[in-house]
Amino acid sequence: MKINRTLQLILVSAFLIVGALVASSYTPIKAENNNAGPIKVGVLHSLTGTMALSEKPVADATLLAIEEINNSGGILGRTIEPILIDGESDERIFAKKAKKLVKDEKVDAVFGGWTSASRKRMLKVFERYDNLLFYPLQYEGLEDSKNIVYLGSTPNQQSFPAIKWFMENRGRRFFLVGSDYVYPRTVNEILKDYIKYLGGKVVGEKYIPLGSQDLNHVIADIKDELPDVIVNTINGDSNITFFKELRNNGIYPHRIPTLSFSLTENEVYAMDINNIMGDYASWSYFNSIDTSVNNDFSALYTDKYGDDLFTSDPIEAAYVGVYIWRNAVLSAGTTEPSVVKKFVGGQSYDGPGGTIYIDEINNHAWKNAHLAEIMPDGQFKIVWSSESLIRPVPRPVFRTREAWDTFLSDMYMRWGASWAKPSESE
Amino acid sequence: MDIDYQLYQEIALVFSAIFTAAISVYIIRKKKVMSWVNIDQTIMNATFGVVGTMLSILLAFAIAVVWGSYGDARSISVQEANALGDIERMSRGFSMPVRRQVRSAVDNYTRLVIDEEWPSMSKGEYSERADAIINELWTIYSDIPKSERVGNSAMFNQTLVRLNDLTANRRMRLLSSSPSVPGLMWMLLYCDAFAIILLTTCFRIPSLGVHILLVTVTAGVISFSFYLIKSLDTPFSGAVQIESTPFQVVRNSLQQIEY
Repeated sequence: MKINRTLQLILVSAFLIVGALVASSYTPIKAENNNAGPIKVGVLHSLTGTMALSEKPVADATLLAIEEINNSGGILGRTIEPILIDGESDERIFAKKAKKLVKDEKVDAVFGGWTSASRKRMLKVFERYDNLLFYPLQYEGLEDSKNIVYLGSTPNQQSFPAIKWFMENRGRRFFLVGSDYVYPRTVNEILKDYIKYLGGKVVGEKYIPLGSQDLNHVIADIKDELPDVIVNTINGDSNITFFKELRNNGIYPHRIPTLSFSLTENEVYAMDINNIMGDYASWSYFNSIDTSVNNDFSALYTDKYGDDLFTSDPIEAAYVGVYIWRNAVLSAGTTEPSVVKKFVGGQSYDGPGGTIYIDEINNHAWKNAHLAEIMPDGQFKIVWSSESLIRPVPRPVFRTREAWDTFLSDMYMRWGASWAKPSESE
Repeated sequence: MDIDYQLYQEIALVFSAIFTAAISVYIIRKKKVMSWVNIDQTIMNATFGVVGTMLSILLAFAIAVVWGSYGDARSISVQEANALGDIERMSRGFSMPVRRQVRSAVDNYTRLVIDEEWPSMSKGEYSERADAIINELWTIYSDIPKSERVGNSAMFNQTLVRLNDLTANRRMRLLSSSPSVPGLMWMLLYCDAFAIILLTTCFRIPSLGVHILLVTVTAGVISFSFYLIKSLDTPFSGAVQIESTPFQVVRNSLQQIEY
C-alpha cells in the first residue's frame, strides 16, 4: 500500500514520541566494580572479659548478616570481608582497636560496641576519621553523631513505656540499681525526671562497679526501702549474683518485681531460672515475637550457632544494622563512609522485630517497645507492646541540651576523664 | 517517576488515542471497510444518539463526583494542618517539657507528611512514622501531670478537641487519596467511548479530511475527559495534585524554644 507523505509524517512523529518516552524512563544500573577487591568492615565486640557473655552472640549475628549478603552476591559486585576484633571488655581497648580498624585496616564501616563507655571512646575515633559505627545497643541517649548509627532504643523508647506500665499496674515507688558507668548513671538520671513527672517516687539509687559481685549493700538498701519496683541497669555477669542475692534475701517478683533494661534471653539462660522467673525486661525485640519472619530468623541463628543460644534485641539490631548499611551503600553507589553516612538517614528495613527506620535528623532507629515477663522455661512472655513505632528522642525534654551536656561532662571529669567510675584501687 | 514525567506520559496517552483514531479512519476509508458493512445511516444515527447521550451523562456524573471529592480532599488537608498548628500553638500554655515534646512531634510530623507521606499517597500508601507521631501526641497529653491538667483545664480540653480533629482529618485524607471511581464504572465509560468513536468512524462523510477531523475531535474530547476524571480522582498525584503547602506553613510557624 502506498503511504502518502502526510501519513508518513504522522507515523514518524508517533515513533519519535514513543521513543522519547521509553528513553526517559530508563534508569541506568549502577556500575559494578569487580576489580576493587572485597569490602572490608570491622566487627568489634568483647570476645573476652566480663562482657563476652553478652557481646559474642551479637558479633555472631553481624557475621551471619554479612554471610547472607555475600551469599546473595555481595554489594556492588563485591563481597564483604569482616575483620573480627576483640574489645576485651575494656573501653580504652575498644577505642584503640576502632582506630586500628579505620586508620590501618581502612574498613568502610564498623559494627560493634556494647557499653556506652566503649561507644563514647570510639565516638571520637569515628568522628575524627569520618567513618561509620553501627551501634546495636539500647543506650542512654544524649548523643546524635552523624558518624554513629544508633540501632538500639533510647530511654523514651525502652524505659519510659515500661516505667509507665509499672506505675499503672504495680506501684509508684521505684528503686534504681545499676553498674557504675555512664549508661546506668545517665538512664537513672533521666528516669528520676520522668518518674517525678508522672507523679512517682525514687526511693533509692545504688551502683556497683562493672563486673563486681559484691551486692550486699544494694540488697540491704532494697530491703530497707521495700519499693514497688526495682529498676535494674546492671550489665554483664554481675546480674547472676544480683538476682541470686535478691532471692536469698526473700525478694520475689510477686511483691517486688525487677524490671531490667540490659538483660537478654541469653543472659537469662545462663542464670538459675528460679532466681529470675517472674521478673521483667523491656526491649524493642524479643525472641518470642511470633511472626514467620522472626521464627525463620531465630531458626537460622540457632542452626548456625547452637540451640543454647537465643536471638535477642542486640542480636536482632546487629543483624538489621548490616542490612541498613547495605541499603545505604546501594543508595550511595559507593562504600566510602563519608558518602554513605549521608544516605543512612531515611533507610528502613523489614527485620525480624518489624520495620525499623533510621531517623534523618538524629541517626537513631524508630522502633517498637515491648515489656515481657520471664517465664519458667527461660523465655519472655510479652505482656505489653507499643501500638506503633516510637520516635527516638535521644535528648529527654525535662532538661535543656546544655543541662544534659553539663551533667555528662561533670560525671566524666569526676571519674578522672573516664566513662566508668574508677575502681577503689585505681 | 517524577511528576513531570507522569504528566508527559498521560498527555502522550491522550494524543496516542487521538492519533489512533485518525489512523483508524484513514485505514477504514482506504480499505473501503464500510462497503462491506452495509449499515443503514438512519439506524446508525439513532444508535449514535443513544450511546452518545449515555456517555455524556456518565462523563458529567463522573466529573461532578470526582470534582466534589477533590474539593473535599483539599479541604480536609487544610483542616488537618490547621488542627496541627492549633495544637502546637496551644502547647505554649503548658510547661516546658510539654512544649518541647509537642513542638518536636509537630515538626517531625510535618516533615514526614511532606517528605514521605505526600509522595506515597499517590500509590495509596501512608507513612507509618507519621502515624506513630499521632500516637505520640496522644501520649504526651495523657502523660501530663494531673496538677498541670487541672490548672490548664480549658487549654487541655481544647487541645483534646483539636487532637481528635487532627486524627479524624488525617484518616479522611488518607482515605481520599485512593481512587473512588469503581472499576465497573471505568469499564462502562471505556466501552461507551469505544462505541462512540467506532460509530463516528462509520459515518459516510464525503471528505476524508473532515471525517478525520470529526473523529479526532471526538476522541480528543473523550480522552481529555477521561484524563480529567483520573487526575481529579487521585487528588494527591498528577497534574492537579493537592500540594502540601498547609503543612509547610505550619512548619514555618513553629515556636522557637530552647531544647
